[in-house]
Formats: sequence, C-alpha cells, structure tokens
Amino acid sequence: MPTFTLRKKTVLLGAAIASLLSLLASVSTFLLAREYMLRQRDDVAVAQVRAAARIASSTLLRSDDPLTVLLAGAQVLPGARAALHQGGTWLVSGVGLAPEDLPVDLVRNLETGSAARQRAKVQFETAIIVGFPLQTQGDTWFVGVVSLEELERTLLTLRGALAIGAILAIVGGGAVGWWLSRRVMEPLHDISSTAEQISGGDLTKRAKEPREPDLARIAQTFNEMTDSLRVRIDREARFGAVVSHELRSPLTVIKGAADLIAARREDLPPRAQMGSDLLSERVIMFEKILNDLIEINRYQSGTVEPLLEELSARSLVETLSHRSGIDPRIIEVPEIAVVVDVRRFQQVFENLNSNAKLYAGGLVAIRSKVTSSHIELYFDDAGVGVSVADSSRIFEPFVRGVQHSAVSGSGLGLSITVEHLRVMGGNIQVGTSPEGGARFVVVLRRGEDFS
Amino acid sequence: MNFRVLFVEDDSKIRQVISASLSDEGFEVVEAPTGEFAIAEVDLTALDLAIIDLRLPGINGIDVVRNLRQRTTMPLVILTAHGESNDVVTGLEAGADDFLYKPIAAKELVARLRAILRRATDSATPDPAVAVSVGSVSIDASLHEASVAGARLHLTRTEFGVLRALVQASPATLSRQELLEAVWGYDYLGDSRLVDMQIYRIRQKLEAHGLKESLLTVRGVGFKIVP
Repeated sequence: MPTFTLRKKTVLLGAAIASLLSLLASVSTFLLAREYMLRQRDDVAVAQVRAAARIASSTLLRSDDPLTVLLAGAQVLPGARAALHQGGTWLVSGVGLAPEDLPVDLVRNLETGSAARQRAKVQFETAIIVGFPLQTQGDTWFVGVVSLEELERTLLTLRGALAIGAILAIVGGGAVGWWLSRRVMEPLHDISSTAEQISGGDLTKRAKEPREPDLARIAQTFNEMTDSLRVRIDREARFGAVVSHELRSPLTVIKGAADLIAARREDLPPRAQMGSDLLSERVIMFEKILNDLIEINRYQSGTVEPLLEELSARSLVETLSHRSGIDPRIIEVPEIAVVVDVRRFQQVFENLNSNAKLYAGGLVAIRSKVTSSHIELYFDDAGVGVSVADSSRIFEPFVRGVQHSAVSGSGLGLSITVEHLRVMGGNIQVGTSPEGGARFVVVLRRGEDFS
Repeated sequence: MNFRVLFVEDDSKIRQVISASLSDEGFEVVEAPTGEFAIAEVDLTALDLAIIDLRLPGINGIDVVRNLRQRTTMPLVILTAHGESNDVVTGLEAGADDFLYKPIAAKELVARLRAILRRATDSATPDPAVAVSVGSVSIDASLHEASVAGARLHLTRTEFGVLRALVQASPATLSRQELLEAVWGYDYLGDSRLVDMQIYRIRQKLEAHGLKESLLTVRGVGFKIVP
C-alpha cells in the first residue's frame, strides 16, 4: 500500500472537500434554476396558449369550419403548432405535428372537460403542450404546442458553466490545500532537517522561525531545547576535560613517584617491596580506567575525529601481535588494505587480546574472511564462550559477563571498542569460535588495494 | 655521553618527579617552569632535546615550540592530554617533532627520548654510506648536513633523519611506519601525522632550492625521493 505524505494528504483532502462543495453547489444551483425557469416558461406557455384558445373560441362562434378555427388560434402562437379536436377527429397545424404526438394523459384530462398541460417530447424536442376545451360541453379542444428548445439550450449552457466552475473549484481547492500545507509543512520540514543536522553533531544549527504564531512556537520551543542541549553537552565536555586534566596532573606525580620507588625495589624491605608492587600495578590500572572514562566521555559529547589511513591488514595485525607477545603462527590474515585509525585500532586489538587472556586463556587464532567491501577479522579463543544472554549486553558501557564479575576493569573496554570501530566505518559482533570459545568478529572497511 | 634535556612544565611536583626519573637514567635535566624561562635557557645552555607541556601560564606551549623551532634544530617533544588531537596537530604544525600523552610514565618517557636521541645523533659514528646522493640532493651523515647542488639545506635533526632515510632507500619507497621506525625509533605503530608534517617541511625547503618534483608521495604506500 502506498504511503502518502502529510503534504499529499492535505492537498488531496483540500481537493476532495472543494469538489464535494462545488458539486453540491453546482447541482443545487442547476436544479433550482431549471425548476424556476421551467415554471416561468410554463406560465408563459399557458398564457400564450390561453390567448390562442380564446381567439379560437371566438372564431368558433362565427365559423363552423374547424380549419378556420384552428388557424385563427395557431397564428398567434409562436411556432404556430396547434391542434383542434372536434367531432372525434383531430386537425393539426404546424410542421411535423401529428395527433399521436399528443400525450394520452393530456387527452384524457380534456375529455373530462378540464384544461391540461404537460411537458413531453414532440419530434425529439421537449415542448410544453397545453390544451383548453373550447366549449363547456362537448369535445372541442384547442391544443397548443410551445417549444422548450431555447430553454433547454439555456440550461445546457448553464450546466456547462457550472461544470467549469466546479472543475475550477476543485483545482482551486487543491491549490489552496497545497499552499496551506506548504505554509504548515515548510516550518516542520525545516525543523526536522535541522534536527537531523543536530543529531549529526552540528549543534550550531537552528530552525527558522515562521511568521505564524502557532508554528513559530514549535520552532522556538525546538530552538530552546537545542540551546539547553548544547549547554548541557558543553558542560559535560568541560566537566570531562576538567576532570581529566585535574586527575592527570596528580596521577603523573603518583606514577612517577611509584616508578622512582620501583626503581629502588631491591633496597626495600620485603613489606615495602610488596607495597611498591601493589602501587605500581594499581596505578597502571587507575590510568587505564581514567583513559577509558575520558574516551567514552569524548564519544558521548560527540567530539571525536578519527584519523583514518589505509594499511595492510596483515602487517597491522602482525605488528600488534608482536607487540602483545602473540605467536605469529596463529595469524591467518591476508595482505589487504584496510581503513583504520591506528591508535584506536591498537586499543581495539589490545582490548580483545587482554579480554581473551583474562576470560579464556588467550587467543588461539586470528582468522579472517574477505568480502568485496570489508574484511572480517576473527579473534578466536577456546574459553567457555559468551552466553546468549551476555552477548547482547557486553558491548554496553559498564557491563561485564556475569560469571566474571571478580575480574577487575572499568567495564568500558568493549563499548569503547564499539565506538572506535564505528568511527572507522566498521563494527564488532560476538559468536562462537570453531574451538567452542568466543569469536569476536571485527569488521573493517577495505581500502583501495595497493598490491 | 650524557644528554641534556630541557623540561618545560609549570607543575613543580611533576617537574620534580620526572627530573628524578630522568636523572636516574643518566639524563641531565634543565627545568623550566614557564615558556619565558625556557626561551631564555636555549640561548644559555647547549641542549639535546626539549620536552614542552602545552598548558603553560604566560606564553603558551605552542608559541614556545614555534619560538624554539626558529632557533634550534634539536628534537622538540610536546606533552599533551590524551586524545586532545587538536593540540597534537597545532603542536606539530608549530614545529614539534614528536608528542607524548600525559600522564607519562618515566619508563616510557626514557625509552622514547633514547629512541629519538639515538636517531638524531647516530651520525657521530660514520658508516660506509657516509655521503650519498640522489640527483642533486646530497647527504653527508658525518657532518649531519644535506645539500642541493652544493647549496646547504637548513634542516632540523628530524627533517635530516627523514631525508637521509629516503635518500639511502632510494629508489625504493618507504612507508610511513618504516620512516617512523627509522627516524623516530618507533618499534610499534606510530602516528602517521608525524611523518606527514616532516615531509611537508622538507618539501618546502627542497622547493625553495628549485626541486619541485623530487620528494614524491606514492599513494597507499609512502614516500620516495627521485632524481
């Protein structure tokens, strides 16, 4: 079923209402006008025939010849079509008029001695037929036929004019609908396209305020909402920046101090050595969590600009594997150009590797599948795998596998991974490896091959 | 040989702890709490490298980098908050050769400084390929000099390193990662913007000597120098 836009619906509705109204108006105008004009014409015809009948009646007093009587009457009638009935026979005057043309009902009325009139078709044209008895007793009747052809033509013209009016009204209604919908829809379209730009990250866009007060309110409210949104986002970004800066300076000192102590570890008593080790380890984790929080804050405030370049997938994975101490023999990745942000991909790689180490005893293979536009990298382990319940949640911030809540971490690693891959034009999914463990599928965009 | 490093940082506690770590590793550290101080120090002391925190009171870090770059060829390393990539770009444009994210670990810092300094100074030990040339571009590694048709090319240490690597590799093409390894001493994936900025600078200097089509970009691969 085709879906109509609000705009189209408004135009169609406008046209429909206009056509209904104009149809009603035209039809009733036509019927009323026709009725009125017919009645007028009837009255005129009756008067004309009555006058003719009166002349015929006075002629009858002087003459016995029915033809003389008929012609005396007929000559005053326009069209001169008349008939005289006398002594059981009809005498007819006028071109093509035959006694059979006279309606039966009319004749029956005359037989009862009363005047009668009737509209009927005579020789394919509408006419009004009026009959008068010429004597109070007997069967002498005068019948006049007055053509309504002229009236019919007038009515036809009227009908044409009304039809044209109706068509104009329908078109006009559609046009009014179009214009109205434009006035209403344009500000709404403007707001929706502004909303699109804003959700795309451009918070400086504002909707135009239309002149109509009702619509202006929508645009104003929308702009106010955008302003407050912008203030909030700015505040959050500033908060993130301040927190990160304020935490970094002391952390630099703590880290440096921990390193100074660790460098003199051998001079320390055993208890102090343990303290130094714990300090060094926790400082590293603290820094990692801080960096994760800053990273996710930057994604949430929409201030991330990736630095994309094309690199060989194989040498990329090999270099990172070498750095992370992964056996190069488990790598099955071809020499294919991929689009990556190196720093972010490195984080993705290290996150997946450290997850595999923490939860599943390490990666057993880095496999791949190449499609026409993408490459899928499979990070496979042989652990217990990811349950169906977990697989939909693990990519959300602060969520970790339920059975692993004892393992420390910010719980942000995979959600940052999702964002990192998204800005590179890729994505990540989780499934089951051939070894029965977890398989993390990292999808990257292919570059233009430079082999 | 002890390297002398200028450390520009306004936080006295950070200066203290980093200086101590660097001294532990045999570096001589000249501390500067402000940009003004650092600029004065460059004229007074012979230095091998400078580390500049971008957030400074008074003259900001970017202007300090710009000022030092005009007066010295030594490597300039900027310190910036993690992920503030605008800082990195403006810092590199101002003339920095490398950057490090805060908070810095003493170990990482020492490793980074050693890698940069080794690359910047290993010309002290002449090797068989002391003087090589491609077309009119000549490199004299022992004198740490480059020239175009006999006219001396004024390069920073890092620019010289990049040009030398390209000349020695010619006619082969070097990828960004290979240059990062050869010049910056990165044994893992470095930031390709470092290379692009140096290439841009070297190109400008070559063009000033009339060499417009000499240092070429090979799309998707890297860079090469041709006669």
